[in-house]
Amino acid sequence: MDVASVKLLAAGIAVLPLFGVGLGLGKLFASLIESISRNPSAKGDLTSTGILSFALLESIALLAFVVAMIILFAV
Amino acid sequence: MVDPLASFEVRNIIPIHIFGMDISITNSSLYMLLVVALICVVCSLGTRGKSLVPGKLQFCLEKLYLFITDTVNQQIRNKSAKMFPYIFSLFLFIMLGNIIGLIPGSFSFTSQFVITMGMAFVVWLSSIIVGFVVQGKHFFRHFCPEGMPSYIAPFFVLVEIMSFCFRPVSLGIRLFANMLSGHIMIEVMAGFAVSLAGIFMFDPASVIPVIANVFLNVFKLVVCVLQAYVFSVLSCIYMAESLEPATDKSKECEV
Repeated sequence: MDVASVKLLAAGIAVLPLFGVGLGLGKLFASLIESISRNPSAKGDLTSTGILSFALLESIALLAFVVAMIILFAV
Repeated sequence: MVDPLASFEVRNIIPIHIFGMDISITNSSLYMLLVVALICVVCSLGTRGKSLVPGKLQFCLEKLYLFITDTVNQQIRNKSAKMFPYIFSLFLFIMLGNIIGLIPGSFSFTSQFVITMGMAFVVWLSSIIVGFVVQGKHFFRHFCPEGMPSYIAPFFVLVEIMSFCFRPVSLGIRLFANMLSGHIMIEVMAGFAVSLAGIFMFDPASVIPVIANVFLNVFKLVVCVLQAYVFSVLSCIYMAESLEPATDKSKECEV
């Protein structure tokens, strides 16, 4: 294989963490919805915590994205 | 196909060289100055009247102020008034910078790695300095909470120090990558529309990417505000850690 095709392959492999992030986001929002429906009065606190953990989780996906972009455009 | 990374290019507008240092005004710093000027103008206009029944602008500013006050008070129990101006200006700066980048043809400085990392390192370093000033050598207590079994302590301290050192990196990269990926997504979608309209004389299918772009823009607007909020909440949490002693058990359970 030449370098260009290996680059494309590597960029594809680099975004594989999105699998785990998708699982995590699904779990996070499922439990968020469940806990809000169990206790609707705690919605405010739960939502802010949920958004915070969403951001922490999403940063992993974005790191993968940055690595893929570096492989595609910078290296 | 247009290069989707073309709009992130930093161009030199007014070259200034002083003492061998390059402090030229680029489009990045121009937009930063623009945002700062916008914040100053809006805040001074909104608080000029200070009427009991707020007008439109004053109402928006009051809402924003209360929102950030709530956030800061939630994270930092005592001494939150000292931290508030910093967090508020950080939030306004990042949010307006993100939103200004959404205007077609403009430049979003928060999608520059240097700028977000710079802001993140300022937050991190100031949290260290504040921690040592407020707590002295008790600041190290955060790396090794009380009641830790001695056989696990070295490993735990190592992991804590590593996670502490990676804080600014994750803080900066989160904002930068969010903005970058959103802009690239919008530009790729716009590129679809252009290439569809360019190949044929007018293809009705080229309307689809344009409509998708509208929804992407709305989504990006949400992400812009959300990322500014997340940045300020995380800096609040880091500041809270340096303002409060580690022995407070209720604090640890929450974060």
